[in-house]
Amino acid sequence: MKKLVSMIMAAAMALCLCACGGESPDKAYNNYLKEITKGASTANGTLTVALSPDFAPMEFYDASKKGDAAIVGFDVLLANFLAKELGMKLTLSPMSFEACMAAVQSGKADISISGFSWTMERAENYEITDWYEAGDNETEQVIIVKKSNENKYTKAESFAGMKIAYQGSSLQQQLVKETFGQMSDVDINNVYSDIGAAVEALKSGKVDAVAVAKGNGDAIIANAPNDIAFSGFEFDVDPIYENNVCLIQKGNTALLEKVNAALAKAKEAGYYKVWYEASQIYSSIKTADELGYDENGVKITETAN
Amino acid sequence: METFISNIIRIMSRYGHVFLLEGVAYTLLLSLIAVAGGSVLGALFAFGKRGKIPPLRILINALVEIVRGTPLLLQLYAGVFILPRLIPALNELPDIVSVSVVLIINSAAYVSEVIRSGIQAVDIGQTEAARSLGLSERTTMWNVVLPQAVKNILPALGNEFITVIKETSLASTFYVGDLMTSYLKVRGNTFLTLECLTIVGILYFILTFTLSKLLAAAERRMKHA
Repeated sequence: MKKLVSMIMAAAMALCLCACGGESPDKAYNNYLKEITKGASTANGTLTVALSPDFAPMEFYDASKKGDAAIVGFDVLLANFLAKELGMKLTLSPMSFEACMAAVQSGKADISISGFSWTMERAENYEITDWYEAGDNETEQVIIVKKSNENKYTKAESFAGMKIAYQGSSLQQQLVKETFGQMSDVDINNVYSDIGAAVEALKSGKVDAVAVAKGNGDAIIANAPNDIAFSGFEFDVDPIYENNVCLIQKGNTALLEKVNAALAKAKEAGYYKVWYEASQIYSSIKTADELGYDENGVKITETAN
Repeated sequence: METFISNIIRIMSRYGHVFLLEGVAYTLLLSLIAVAGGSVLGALFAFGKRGKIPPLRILINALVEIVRGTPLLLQLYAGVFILPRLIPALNELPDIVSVSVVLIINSAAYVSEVIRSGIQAVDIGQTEAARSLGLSERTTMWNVVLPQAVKNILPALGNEFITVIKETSLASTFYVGDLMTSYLKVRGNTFLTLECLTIVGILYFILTFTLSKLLAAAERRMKHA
């Protein structure tokens, strides 16, 4: 027993040592964060932002950091920007995606920025801000398949006889139903509570395809390059779904107006694209090289991307 | 299978500290708070239920029934979103405080039932004998019934402790930092669900198995006493 315990301890210590090493892909991200927070004032109180940090590159954890600083990603840059524009101190409140909505509703959080898409029901129950554009994360909605089927499917009809999975109450669910609902030979009754479970179903062969946002797909494939690939199919997306929005408590139009003004400013300054790139590099979906950043995280070239 | 194992090794080398340092520490902390607070409050509940103040008895009974009759996840939502409305000071504190309060109350409800059944399991003849020998009601309780009840209570209490360790996983809905939060964090980065679940599964098992062995040892000593 003693031996076992000491073996486990030794293994744990060895792991801690490895975990402390490694390169830092956060340079570009930190540059933008510094730029945003420079000269920020906190005169107008605290802005509490609810978000679900399990969704790289939009919001995820940097395991090497502690506290609020460990929560990073595109939406965190946006949250910092909003807080600065409003002259407020930013507090991040991490919780599950469902809890984010309850937090805004109950007033525990002022706003939720967590990769929300616009839907009719959300518009009925929350104040919805103007949209913001997170790279190709939402604009491109795709289907991923097993590696052996890479790029074999270009039209909806090619999915005949296949089982397509998606995350429940997501934009992808809506898209799958719209696109394949009329086709009797496609099985679309494969709902999963989270995208990770759907991906496992794909790996184990329980389903043949999974509908995901392009940005998610990049992250999934980056972590399973030998198992999973893009199918070659892309959904026809109504522009209303292409971008993300933030949720604010119903009736809080004062905050809504201020946030919309700040969003307009960020859009005009062209921040969205570079924030998204920095978040992609940070979450190891793309390399700094691919997106044209130098080793100090400064953008050097315009890329086609 | 090979990729599965190599994925686990890759995850552990990159995120090992998230599971081992943060996750295990917070799960142990939350369980300790819930168990310690729950035992004290549960004992108070148990005596309040047997007590002579009817309104208090009714209140405790109602609370225990509500807690035992609703899912813990729902209670956590109530604790995090409704409790701060009643006690605004809670808004200044991190969510882990509200979560701990809910876990303590939840654990207390079950512990109070464990204690009640433990006391009831002591033969009524013991009380009758003590009372007819002229011992007061209080002395009978403390010196005759309770020492025998503890032997009944401890094994069931140990079960409750192990249940609490596993139930703290629901607190991950609010990212308090426990093992299941570690799972959510790492899965969010890697999209490797089964690998991350396997890691936390092993860690939960190590925690509960160690505890059940310790409790078994404690029980053996009690038998000799």
